[in-house]
Amino acid sequence: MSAGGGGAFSSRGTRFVAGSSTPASTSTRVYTVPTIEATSVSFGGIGAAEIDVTKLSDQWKQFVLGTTDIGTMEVGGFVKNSTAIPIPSSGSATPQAMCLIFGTDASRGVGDENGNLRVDVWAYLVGVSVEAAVDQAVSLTLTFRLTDGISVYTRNAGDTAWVRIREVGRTFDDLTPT
Amino acid sequence: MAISSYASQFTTGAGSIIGEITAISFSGITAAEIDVTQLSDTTKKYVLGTADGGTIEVSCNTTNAVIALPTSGNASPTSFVIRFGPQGTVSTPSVLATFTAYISNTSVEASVDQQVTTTYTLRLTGAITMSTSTTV
Repeated sequence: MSAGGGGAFSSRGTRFVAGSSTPASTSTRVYTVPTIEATSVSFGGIGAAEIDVTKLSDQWKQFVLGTTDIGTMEVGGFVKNSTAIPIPSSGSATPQAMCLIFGTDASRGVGDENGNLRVDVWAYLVGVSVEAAVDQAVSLTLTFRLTDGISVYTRNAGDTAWVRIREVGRTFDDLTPT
Repeated sequence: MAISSYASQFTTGAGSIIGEITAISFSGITAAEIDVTQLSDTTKKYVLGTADGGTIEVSCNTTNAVIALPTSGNASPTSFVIRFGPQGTVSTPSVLATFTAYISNTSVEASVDQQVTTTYTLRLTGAITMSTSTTV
């Protein structure tokens, strides 16, 4: 990986993190870490509605964009020993904040993360699948419905904190990952 | 740490599965996503509706016992407890799923050079409870 975060980087070390900070707004925000030994994380697709505004006189289709939908996030992994499997909460109207750091080599520690990427999202747990089979670990897939907004950060060599480079929708207060 | 599927089984519930279980699959415990986006919003907003336990597929080697079938008009679901992994201890509690369900589908397969297999589909109804135990 090149300095400044310009190169590809490994998924190794990718992790959800808890955090501590005092929310600047009145909204309650607790960063949640999935109770799973994660082996994969997948964003289903952040998309914006395509609105067809083509007129009869047009030769080519013309579009404008509508509302952005952050989509879903799927987290696959193993059921953790001694930890109950999470389930969706009916009627919940309070999404949980989640912070995902891609590719950080945890052994290097926070503050030595050269060009890493961090994504904060608001999410509800909406789907749980569990599989047990002969000679396999008990595996689990959690599906999160992302709502409200998303923030993207980078942290390059020399940065003393995460730098927010993109934010859509509902904002996050700065988090100190732990 | 991760747990092996070894020794996973239906345990203390009233219901049991007839056959030698080879795989258990929760198809998906879900909650309805209700779109509450307003015209003034720039991103989609959601709240959650009713949770649905979904179905569980249990694959078995068929034994000499009578294969269980769905019961028409049944309105009395059976309680089940699935334990993932071996029996729990104080130092390593087991992971449990407790729920009530109906057998909604039974399929049997026999083919050349294969054992006879049965697949049961359980339709979960009502709440599902995930927990840990040091004794089950």
